[in-house]
Amino acid sequence: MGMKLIIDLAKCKPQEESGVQCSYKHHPLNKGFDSLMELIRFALICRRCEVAPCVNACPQGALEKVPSEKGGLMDKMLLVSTGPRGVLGKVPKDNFHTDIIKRANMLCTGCGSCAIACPFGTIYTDLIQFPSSECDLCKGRLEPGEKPLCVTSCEDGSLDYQDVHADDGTEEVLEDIVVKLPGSGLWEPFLKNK
Amino acid sequence: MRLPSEVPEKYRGKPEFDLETCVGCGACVNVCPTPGCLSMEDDFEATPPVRRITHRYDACISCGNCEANCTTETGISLSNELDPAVLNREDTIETHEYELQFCEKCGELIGTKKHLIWLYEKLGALAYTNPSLLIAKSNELHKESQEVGQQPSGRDVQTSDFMRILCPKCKYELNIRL
Repeated sequence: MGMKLIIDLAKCKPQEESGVQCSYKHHPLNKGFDSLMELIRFALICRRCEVAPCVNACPQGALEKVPSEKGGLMDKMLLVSTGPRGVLGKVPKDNFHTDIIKRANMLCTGCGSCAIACPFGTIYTDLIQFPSSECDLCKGRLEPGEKPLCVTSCEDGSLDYQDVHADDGTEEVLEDIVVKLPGSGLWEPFLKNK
Repeated sequence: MRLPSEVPEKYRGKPEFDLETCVGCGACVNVCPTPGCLSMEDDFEATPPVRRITHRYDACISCGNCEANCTTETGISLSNELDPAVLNREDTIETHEYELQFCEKCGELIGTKKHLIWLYEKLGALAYTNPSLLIAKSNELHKESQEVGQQPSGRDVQTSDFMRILCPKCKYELNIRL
């Protein structure tokens, strides 16, 4: 067991409000949290169209559908339903294509074609900014007991860094990144101004 | 003008916009490595609101990034003009305007109108998954008559929002809540 970054989607506010900072050393303007949100949106929110308009719209071929690794985290993961009334539910993955959208940020020109083409509003332009960002979870750069800068600088309390097991109400979306899902009711975390 | 030698076909000279095919997406501005060469500004005060893409070729280093990464492939290309010298530096500045499209529910900027229409044409049958593209194209076809699109509703989500041009966040909210 290692330390995991825990993201509480229900508490997540836009970056300007939450004041999340990033200490990624290779790029001073790096927005590590934004790059995580992109991956989480593609994993949880994307409806995984069989014939994806976003992939067809991209003029640079920067978007592709990547089959989830057999037995990997994404293969095991159940899709969060964004169905009628937005009631949170889990849909067996057999009903869905498990291919996940992946953006090659070295090919992406930030033209925003995919954001306009997506019929469900999964992608928006702030999510896929042209300067690429990366999150390495500060691995190898933290003192024992120290938390990453995003966790300590986040004012809305949506981030935590702990040694936890993923259980009910949480999903390990990416390696060492756990997303806390809201209990019930409307699926609000990704709604406007969130 | 007498040139010192014949210009090779692939010579990277002064970049020229093809205003027929350029949609004003801003990809060239993003990939341009030279500060001040290509820049983009959205003017919300103008009527109608426009995006201005400004190119000043005195700063251009003829790298060809804009041509290689152009969304429509032919929107900007490096011409064979190899002697772009001018007497007045201001003459090297050219500005192009593109009409902006806003979300008909919240008023958020979506992109340029030409970009939506270009996507409609590029996606073919897939465009029918996305009413925003259909309405944008329809508005273009019926420019003279009344616009099919509606003014920002500002109210809570309603079924009629499906037939509006929407920004991604409104589209998402509509799909979740209705």
